[in-house]
Formats: sequence, C-alpha cells, structure tokens
Amino acid sequence: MKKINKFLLIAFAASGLLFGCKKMDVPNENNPDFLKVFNSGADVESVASGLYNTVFTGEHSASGVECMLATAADHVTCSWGNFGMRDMSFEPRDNAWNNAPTYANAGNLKYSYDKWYSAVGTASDVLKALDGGIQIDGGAGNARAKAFAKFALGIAYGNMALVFDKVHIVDETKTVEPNLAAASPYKEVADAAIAYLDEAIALTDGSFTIPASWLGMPGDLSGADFKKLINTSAARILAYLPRNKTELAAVDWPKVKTYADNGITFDWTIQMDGTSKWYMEAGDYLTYPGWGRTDMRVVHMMEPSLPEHWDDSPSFPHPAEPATSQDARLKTDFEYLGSNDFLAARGYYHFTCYRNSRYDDVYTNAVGPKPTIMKAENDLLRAEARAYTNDLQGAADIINAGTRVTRGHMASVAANLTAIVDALHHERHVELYTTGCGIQFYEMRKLDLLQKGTPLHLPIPGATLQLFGETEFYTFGTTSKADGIGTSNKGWR
Amino acid sequence: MHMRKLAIAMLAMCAFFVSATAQQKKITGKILDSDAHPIPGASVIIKGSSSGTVTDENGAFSLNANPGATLVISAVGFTTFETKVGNESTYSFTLTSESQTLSDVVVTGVAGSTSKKKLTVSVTKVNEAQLKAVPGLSVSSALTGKVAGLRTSSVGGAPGQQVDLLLRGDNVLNVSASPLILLDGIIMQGSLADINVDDVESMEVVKGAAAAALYGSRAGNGVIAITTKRGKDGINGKPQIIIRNEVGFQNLQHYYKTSRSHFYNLASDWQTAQGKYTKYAGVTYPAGYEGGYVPNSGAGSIIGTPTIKDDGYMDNPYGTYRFNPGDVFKTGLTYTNYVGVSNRSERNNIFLSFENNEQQGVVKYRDGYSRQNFRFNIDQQLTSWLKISATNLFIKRQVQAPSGIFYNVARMKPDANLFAENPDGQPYNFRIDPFNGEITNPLYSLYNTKSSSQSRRWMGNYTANIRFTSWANLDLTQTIEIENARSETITPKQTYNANYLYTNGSLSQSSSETSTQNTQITLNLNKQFGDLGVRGKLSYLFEDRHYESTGVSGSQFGVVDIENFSNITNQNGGSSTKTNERAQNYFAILGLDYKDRYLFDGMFRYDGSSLFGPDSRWNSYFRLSGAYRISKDISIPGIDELKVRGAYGTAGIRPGFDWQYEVFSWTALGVAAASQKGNTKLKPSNTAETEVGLNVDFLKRFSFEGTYAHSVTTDQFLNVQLIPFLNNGFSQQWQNAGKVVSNTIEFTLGANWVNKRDLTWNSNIVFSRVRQKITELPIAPYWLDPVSGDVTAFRIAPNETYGAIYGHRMVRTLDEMAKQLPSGKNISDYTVNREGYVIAAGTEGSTAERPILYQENGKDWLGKIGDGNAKFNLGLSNTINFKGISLYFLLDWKNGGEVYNSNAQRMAFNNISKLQDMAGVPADQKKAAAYWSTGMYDGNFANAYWVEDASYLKLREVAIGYTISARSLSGFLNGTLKGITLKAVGRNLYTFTGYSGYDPEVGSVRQPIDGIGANPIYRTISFSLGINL
Repeated sequence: MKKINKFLLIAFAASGLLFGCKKMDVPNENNPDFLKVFNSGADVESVASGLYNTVFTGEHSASGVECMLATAADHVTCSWGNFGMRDMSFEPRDNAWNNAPTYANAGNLKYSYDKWYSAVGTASDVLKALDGGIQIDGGAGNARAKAFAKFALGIAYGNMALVFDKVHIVDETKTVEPNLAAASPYKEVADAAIAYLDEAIALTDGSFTIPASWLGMPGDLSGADFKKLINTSAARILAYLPRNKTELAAVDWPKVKTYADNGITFDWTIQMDGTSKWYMEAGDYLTYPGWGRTDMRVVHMMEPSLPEHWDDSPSFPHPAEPATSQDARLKTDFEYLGSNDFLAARGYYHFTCYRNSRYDDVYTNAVGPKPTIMKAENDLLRAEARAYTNDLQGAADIINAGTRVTRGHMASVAANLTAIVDALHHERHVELYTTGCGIQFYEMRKLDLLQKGTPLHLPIPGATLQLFGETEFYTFGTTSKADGIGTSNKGWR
Repeated sequence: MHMRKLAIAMLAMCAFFVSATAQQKKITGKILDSDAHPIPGASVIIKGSSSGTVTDENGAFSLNANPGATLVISAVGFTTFETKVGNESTYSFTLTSESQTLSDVVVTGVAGSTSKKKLTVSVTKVNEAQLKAVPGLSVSSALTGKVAGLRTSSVGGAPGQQVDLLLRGDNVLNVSASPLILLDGIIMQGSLADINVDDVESMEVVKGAAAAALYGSRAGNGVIAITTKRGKDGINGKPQIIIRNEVGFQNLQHYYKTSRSHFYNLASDWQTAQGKYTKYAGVTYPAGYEGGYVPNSGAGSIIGTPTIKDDGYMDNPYGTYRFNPGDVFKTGLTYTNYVGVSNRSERNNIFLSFENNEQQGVVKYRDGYSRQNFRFNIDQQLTSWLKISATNLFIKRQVQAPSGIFYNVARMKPDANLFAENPDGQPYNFRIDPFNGEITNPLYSLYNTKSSSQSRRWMGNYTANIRFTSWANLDLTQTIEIENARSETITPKQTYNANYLYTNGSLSQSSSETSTQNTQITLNLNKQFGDLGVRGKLSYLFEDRHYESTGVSGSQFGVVDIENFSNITNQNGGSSTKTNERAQNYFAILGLDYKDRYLFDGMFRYDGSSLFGPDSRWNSYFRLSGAYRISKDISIPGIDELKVRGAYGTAGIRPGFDWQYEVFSWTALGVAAASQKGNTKLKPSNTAETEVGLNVDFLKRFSFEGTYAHSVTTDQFLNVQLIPFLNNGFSQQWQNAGKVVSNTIEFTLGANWVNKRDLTWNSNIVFSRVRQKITELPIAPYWLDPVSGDVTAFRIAPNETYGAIYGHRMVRTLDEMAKQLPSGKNISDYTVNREGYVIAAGTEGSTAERPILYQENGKDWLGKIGDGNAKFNLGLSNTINFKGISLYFLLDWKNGGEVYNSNAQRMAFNNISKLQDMAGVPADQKKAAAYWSTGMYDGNFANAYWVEDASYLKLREVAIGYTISARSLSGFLNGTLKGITLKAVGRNLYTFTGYSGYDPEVGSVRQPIDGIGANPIYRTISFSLGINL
C-alpha cells in the first residue's frame, strides 16, 4: 500500500471524479421555445389545433368571467363571493366591478382577457408562419390551419367585444401603440371579429375536416359543418353585442339571419374529459349543490305561480313545490329544494327553491358530453333575426318547432313580436342553461333588463392598465353611475 | 466529524513544522482528558522557542527539552496548560476541557478549523449537549431558540413537516430564503425534517452573506452545516453502544373556540327536539328527524330555511351540543427507538446507527409520520499519508398527513352530528348541515380518502485525504444524494358528492427522483511562519443535480376495491418534468493569524451555473474580514477575552430552473403557447453584507457575543409583467432588479452560574432583532401568493418593510369620516361605536350596524395594516445538573410580529366566531352578527381588523432527567452498563399568547398567516430511556 504513488493516485482519482463533469449548457426539457414550437409544418399545425381550447378555457373556466356574468344577469344566484359572483349580484347593484389590480376577484377578469389574447397571439404566430412559407403536410394542411387560426381570432375578439368596452386589435399584420388610447371600442372589435370569421368561412372550402380534438367534440367535423360553426359564431357576436335596446334596434339583422341560417344543425358538444383541458368548470360551480342555484326570476318564467323575486325578508315564505309547471322542464331539468343553504346573513334575496340538475351526471366526474353551443341556440338566432326583420311567422315557426314545445311542452308562441321576444328570452334562460359563456347576460343587457347599476360591459383589467402606465383604473357599475351606456340604468325590477 | 479530525491533523502538521534544536534531553509523555482518554493531536511546544511536537493517536509525545523549560500544551477544545520540565523523563498531563460556549471549533466557511476565539465572522455552533437535552423530533426543529439571528416558524405543524428557517434578514424576493444546508459536507436538497438528531454531533450556523461567502451563489441566505458522529472519540478497541427509546403523546394544546350560540329564530316548541337537533321556526322537519342532513327535495325532506332573528344577535342556544373537536382529533403516539454503535481502532473508526421515528399526529384516520434512518460512517487510515472516510445515510419515510382539516373542524356548528350514517350505510354522513351545502363532514373524507406518500433517500460523502507534507494535504470528495419519492391519493369508487351521487372514485399517483452528485477537490494548506499562522484552501467544486417527476391521475373505477390504473375508466393522462443543473465553482481562501491576536481572512469565489443565463454565466464573490483580540495586548480586570471583528462579503442565490429560458407553456396536451420571454443575462441575486462584532468573556463565567450586520441585496429576481399582444404573446420575463436592505442586531450571552462537582447551572440567552426593507422595486407592487390561506395579505412595495401586511381598514374617527362623507350626509349622521369604529348614528346594536371602509381620494384605502416581523426574538435556555438529576428548559419568546388571521375572518363569515357569541352579553352591549360577517369580513379581503399580535412565549423544550453513572452501575451486570439516563421531555409544551387562533406560530416566517390550510404545531410529551453500553 505504501508503494502507491501519491501523485499517480491523485491524478487517477481526480480524473475519475472530473470525468463526469458535463457541459454547462443545460436545455429546458419541459417546455419548448419559439423555434421548437414553430419548427416544422407539423408543429405549426399542432399549435393551431390548440387554439380553440384556449378560447374555450377563457369562456368556461371558473377562473374567468362566466360565473359572475350568470349572477349579474339574475340567471343563476349564488351568495358566495368566489369569482365575483356576489359582488356582481348585490341588491342594489352597488358593488359592481372593482377594477383595482388589488381587488380580490381581479384575477377572474384578467384570466379571460389573457386567455383570449393568448389565442390571438398564437393564431397570429400560426398565420405568420404560414405566410412565411411553412408547409403543413406538403402544403395540403395549410388551408385548414389558416382557416382555424382565423376562426380563433374571430371568436377570441368576438368574446372580447361581448365582454369588454374596448380592447386593442392586433394580429399577424397589425400592431398598436402601447397605450390605452390605442384600444378600439367594442363595436370595432366586433367588426374585426366578423371579418376574421368571414375569412375563415372563405378559407373553408370543404377540402378538409377538423379533427375532434381541435374542437373538443366527440367526433371529427366536416368542412361543411365547420363552416356552419363559424357562421353560428358570427351570428352570436352580432346578436349579443347590443348594450341596450337602442343598440338592439341597430343590429344588422339580415346579416345575422344569413349567418344563422348557415349555422349549425347539430349541437356543438364538448366531450368533457375530467381534466382541465375540456372542462366546463364554470357550469359545474353554477349548478353544484351548495353553489349556484336557479334565480327565482328564471323559476318564475317556468311557473308563474312561483314568485319572481325572493324578497330580502326573513318572513318571505318558502314556496311549496308546484304540482304542475307551465314549462315541463322545471320538473325534468331542475330540482326543487325545500330549503336554502346560502347564508341568510348575506341577503334572503339570494334564496331560491330550485337548482339546475340537467347535467348532474356529466358533472359527477366532469366526464361526458355537454353542449357549449346548442342547435337550439342557433335556432333562436334564426328566429330572432326573422322577428326583427318582420318575418314574425317565420320566427314563431322556428320557436314552435324547437325546445319550447318539444321539451318544455309549452303553448306555441303567436306571431307577435313581444311574444316572440319573450319566448326567445325564455328559451335562452331555460334551454341554454350553462351552455355558452354569458348568453343570459347578453340577453338581459340588450333588453335593458339588467338591474340598475349592473355593468353593461367590463373594463380592460386594472393590472393590464398598469402596464400601459395608467394609474386610474376606470370601471363600470353601481347605481350612482347608471348611464345606460356602461352601466345599466333600467332593469327588470 | 472528519473535518475536526482534519483540523487536529493540521495543527499537528503545524507543530511538526517547528523543528527542534540541539542540546536537550529527551522527554516522553501522554496527554489525557478528564476521563483519562488520550488526546491525539495535542500540541506540546517549548515556550519561547519554535520547538515542539504533537501527540499521536494514543495521546503520546516525545521531544527534546532543557530541564526548566516551560512546555505549553494545547489542544483544540481544551484549556491551554503550561508546566515546567523537571528531572523526570516521563510525564502525564490531563487537560481540562473548556466550557462549550468558549471553546468550540468551527470549520464551516473558514480557511480551516478555527477556534471560536479566532473567528472573524459570525458562526454559531450548536453542540451535542444543546441538541441532546431535548432531542428534537428532527434536526429541522432542533435549532429554534438556540441561535441568535435565526427565526423559525412551523409552517405546518403536521408530523414530518419542515420548519421554516430564516437567518437574519429575508433578503430575497420570489425565491426561498432558506439557508443552504450541508450534512457532512453534502449540499442537501431533501428535507431537514428527515434527519435524526441523535446522530448529530454539532451544527454550525453560518449567518449572513459575509460569513457564508465561501459558498458563493448558493449562500445568500447563510449556511447551516450539520456534522454527524463518527467512531473516533471512543476508547481504542472498546465499542460503545448507545440505546435510546422514547415514547410520548402528541396533541393540540387547545381546540379552536367558537360561538356556542346562533341567531336563527327557534321554533316555539324547540325544546321538544332538544338533545336531538336545533328546531328552527319556519322549518318543517320530516317525521322522526334526529338531526343532521336529510335531502331537501323529495319525500322525507326538510322544508323551509331558518330565518335570522330581527335583532340579528347570536344569542339563541342550539338544541344540542353534540359536536366535539375531539371527535376528529386524537392524542397520537410518538416514539423514537435509537441505537448507535461506535468503535475505534488504531487505524480506523466506525459509527453505525439506526433510528425508528413515529409521530402519529393528532388527526383521526391519519397515521402521521414514520421514518427509519440507517447510518454507517467510517474513517480508515490506509497509509501514513492516505485516509479515506465515508458517510452513508439511508432514510425511509412514510407520511399520511391531513390537509385543510383544522379550518373545517373549527367552523362546525355545535349541533353538528358527524356520526349519522350515509344513505348507503357508510359511516360519517357526508353532508352534515341541511342548511349549508358548503360544509361537509371532516370525518367522511378522512375515513374515505386514502392519502399517503413515501420516500427513500440515500446520502453519502466519500473523501480521500492525501497528505503531502506537514503543511499541505488534499481532499478528494464525491458526495451523493438520491431521493425517490412517491405519493398516492385514492377516493374509492363509492364516494359521494354533494348530490349523493357516487363519484366512482379517483386515483392519482406521482413519483419523483432527485439526484445530486457533487465532486470537490480541495488543497488544504496550514503553516506557521514564526508568529504568523497561515491557513488556506484552494478548491474546485462541480455540482450535478437532476430532478424528474411524473404524475398520473384518473377517475371512475370500474369495479370496487381494486384501486389501480387498470381499473380506471377515465384516465386523465400524465405529466412529467425533468430539470438539470450543473455548476462549476472555484474558490480560494486565506486565513492569517499573527501572534494569536491579529486575525485576517480573505477569500474569492468564482461560480458558474447552468441556471445563470449564458451571457451572465460566471459570477464572483469575495470576503475580507479581520479581528483583533484586544485582551491579548491589554489586560482589563474581569475581562478574560475581548475581541472585535469586522467583515464584508458577498454571496448570492441562484435563479429558478427555467427562468432564463424562453418558455411556451402547455395549454393542452401537445399544445404550447407563448408565456415567458427568455433572459440570457439572468444572474444570481447578490447580497453584500457588512458585519461588526464584539466578543467578551468575563468574570470567568460569562461569555458574550454581539453582532451588527447590514446587508444589501441587489439583482433580485423580479417577474416583470409584459403586455402579451405587444410582446409576441409573452406575458412575463424574469429580470434582475430591485433592492432589499436588512439590518440585524444579535447577541448571545452564556453564563456558567454554578460549576461545582455536584451542581452545575448554565444559561444561554440568544437575542435577535431584524429589520428588512424593500428599498427599490422598479415594477408595480404585487401580492405574494398566499400560503395556507385564501387571503392575499402580504405585499411587496417599494420603500416598504419586507413582511408588510396590506389591506383595507375601517374608519376609526369622526375626523376621518368627515373627509369621506357620502353626498347628502352630515358628520352628525355618524358616531363611534364601543369597539372604536365609526358607524351610522343610531345603528349601534342593530342589524344595520356596519363598520365603514376607510377611503382616500374617494377610493378604498389600501395600505400597511400589519408587519409580520417580530420586534425581537429571544431564546433562553437553562441547564441545571444536581448530582444525577438534570433540569433543562428552553423558553422561546417572539415579541411582536403580527399574524394575518384569515381563519378568524372566515369564522365571522360563517357566523360561528366567538366574537359574535352574544349569549350572556348584557342587552345594551349586544351586536348583530352581521356587524362582523358582513362588515368586518370585508368580502374576505385583507382587513386590519383581522391582524393580530402574534407575540408568544413558548415553553419550547423541557426535560427532567436522571442519569445513573457508570460508576454506580459498575457492580451491576459486570459493569456492562456504562450509564442510564431517564428523561421526561416536553416539546412545545405551553404557549403564553394573546393570539386567538390555534397557535401564534403559524405560516412561514415571510408570510405569517393563519388560513384554511394552516396546521397548528402540536404539543408532545414523552419519556426517554437512554442506555450506554
């Protein structure tokens, strides 16, 4: 042992120990960068395939705006403060939207905003790559990716036009100055959205099908059906955009009619997969026991003998379950509740005696099919466009052939504008329950039915305003600011 | 303790270096300690000359000396001893060991083993005696109250949870402020809570960037170095065996106190249901109703909802008081079984140990924490110049911890019946309250859901020491830490949701591997040039760290009771992650010691890490420090030792793994979207610290150390938000900017009050006062993500205390109110209520009484409402030994420092808060519950009302023991037993506090918040029997 040469040993040991010393450049193996994501045609297609999911998440995650829009619309009632549900449904509406970045629910508005802009950014990147000459599947896949990217731009901006008072319009060719003044008002945003959708329609020539996973549907969608979907999306934006009755009157209804008539003839169903990818989470919270319940206003629509509003009084009697209901769905899609599980201290006006049970089975595990846009919704758009273009009989026929009668077993509606508008209103609250994000809010808004003080749309999120250098966080809502432009000055009660 | 051995060897080499001179006689001798054990490596020097020698392994020495010459005999840890050479040629000297606070030798962060007297920086050594008095359930909790400048908090009191440790100021934003942990030289990645205390010989706490600069870009938060036992201290050829068994009980110090009354209208005949349920007015109960949940639709349902009394006072009794937190909580067993074996021979020593540790926790249906540690340490002298040392530790851990249970239990109504059956006959009816769908039975999920995690961890240090000359040797070291962990959560197929539909269950599993392999080569130098002692190190360290994890989950079992993925019908897919870090570090340190009194230390370190952006890959650190032992030159009556010292040094913290990269994050499987802009210039944060210190030993029995440290941390990691649509979709980027400044004053006072043969009494006081401020923040203020609560209450803002609690506050005076009068209102419309809050005049005691949010410029004010930082922390330990009886206790005092009590805020929201209980309150002083549940609750926003002083004085550790000495046992079993120690031990025994929650020690040091997920610290009382063989 003593004969071991000391230095030989050191040299041997040191080289052995240091042999493993590897390079200092370590790649990130968990997330790609731009070069990897946009490396090949196949990559670009993969990016495009996720675009709708991003828009969908902004619509349907409980982290977004869907829950608060439902309570602000007196469609769903919930006294819990989560997701802005309580602040947006105070009676009177004096809490409204607090746009300070420090507000407890500020993240909900920003979540949807960011998701939709994420789709805009990614769609722009896809279009840029395609314009730059990248070939998907030897060029055969380019049209589909392009059409889908335009569709994503259209529905992302469409959502923003419906929810926000203004946003910045950017795409693969357009940029804007980084200031608040550069934002476009919602009508211009809607115009831009429609233009993108028109491009998508033009690009959808029937040469391709959309894989089921792109849209979260149970099966692949033919080009023709995808075109219908785009048409429905365009009709929705136009029909849901008005902030009040005046704007409602100015809607280009013939255009809505064209889109809706070319719209879906099937339910756009999301195959929920129990994960966060395809999960209509807001709908879960809006119906889960202990959370959202059906507002008395909607209950009353289905059975007029039930009160329209639960007065804020301890002596208000708990309504007994009616033996029959005008709308049969009260018995099939809803569940009578003998008591309330909201805190009485937060106001009896949150109380109600029904909850929606239609999707209980799919929400047990958040696995299974649930529509995001029903065929019924498109039918209602077709009827509405007809009603406002003086084709009252046409409108009534569509409604009477639809769920009002087939599922609700209600009396046929007469060819009378008021009756038709009421019927549309009824179906949107009853049949379209927790399908599309904000449908009932948009419906109430354009009919001047949102309670006085309810915001008619929401501001650019405060945290984003901060990045524009703004220190004042403009907002909408409260009865004292009711102007009928940004804040409701009328209301159903 | 191979470093200590090394230190001794180095000193020996020093002594060898001093060559002997002529015309003397040869003397031989032995140097022994007070137990007659030989002291190897002791130096024997002829005073006034440079001649001398060092003792061998058997404590023996020989040298040539003139008769009449004075021998100076010294050894690390012993009092230096002088004696005259007489006519004899053989001598035996016994050295007395120095008292612990005075004599400790430090090896961490310095140029070589350095006695505390000669330190130029702040390092606190916690020795075995301090750790052993009440052996911590893990190393993680063993330091609390023992080190000045150390702040700790039990983030979750659950067994096996790591205690949050913070040395001096919290200097870093957005990264952990935990110190770097070294275990036997292994840079540790895993949990400190799994390291057993019985194996630990000492811990060195290197506070602050200056002292820790030697560890460069990982040491910005200081360093804690743990050294475990080795076999070197025993008697040659006589194995020693230590056996210790401890059995104890763990429980909550108290349950959460809530309201015993409610504000609902009682039915006129409510007493007919007394003992079964609370019968409310306006509610129709089904026949035979016995309380608890029944469906509120269909046959047999409850119809109607309780209504609130007109006065809104919570002063009505419940119909029954059947709920007891003890239904959910238990007294859990804890036990520790330890055996350690050590042996030493001339050329080697070994240390083997095993510990089994079980802590059952306090929650029913959860087994708590179980751990087994296996250790094998060996040192082998192969040749006169080559020694190899190995340290091995294998840890097996199993945890079943509850989550979120404490809040859930606290908000149970007194009439809740947890024991009714579910419709399918399973125990613990899932929904317990017919009038609150959000509250569910805590026992149901505890009973039904299985949740466990396990880990296997191996740590090793393999070092070869090669001696070149008496003054130079080389360490070649390879360290390894590998941990494999997995966890599983199962909800069985027949698990209800709130609709009483079976969910069909779910299954999730995850596993991870953390692997670190570091290689280090260090050249150690140590030479005496006349009066100048020179020590130095040159070192190269290569770090290679790898982490990977996978997780899978799914829902809906096909058949019952088979809980694997083959039986899962809806597989949610998996996720995985892999990270690697490589770093190369070079450092040089030089320590100079002139005439034993002028001390200087300088070092330089150059670190490259793959975590730094490619354009900032290399970063340098340095330290300069010096000390002057005044008492060596000036004799002051009563002063035994007086030293002043000063140091300036830099250290850093490395960024997170993916912060430098451009990142597209996954928005769906296979689909990624832009999220983070890359930063090729990202570099470590930089902490520069200046410290000055004073050490005084006086009156032969006291030792004092005082230190002031000022640190400035720049190049913080800031998550800069970007406007995505103007930045190619990127929403954020990590950038280096911002500054945090901290100031710390700390002192330690050790007192040796009595030191007699049969009676000793030692005290140790540690004190620290830390102030920390964010002086620069070039981005918008932001909230810290909440820990264990759902309220964001801690805010990072420029020129603000780091640890500031932010939120709303209520109007307190009419002057304030006058400045925010709503239009049409007059100040006479308001008044101040008994609690000191402004309310609308005439509403006091009515349901309309509400506090009013304070506003400025027409907006709700948002500002500082509290400070989580303590005014000071103080630990006081006392050890009294009388004959064989010992008494030890440690008091831990946190003065000031506030907790955001989000739990209390939520109790008010649930109308179950003790504040709201109006039973027994005089009629004219009652308040309606809504004053709190609507008013003070403030929509669950942080509000000053819920900030509480969390000062506490804890009886942290207590031990009463009796030791039977080897001498007393010599006639028993042929003297096999070398000692028996019996102890009764208490941990976290009692807390004196005004805090209203479970325990004021809650949350992290950075974010003391008591929230939904908080888990209070438990009280443990146990009995220990230690036997030495």
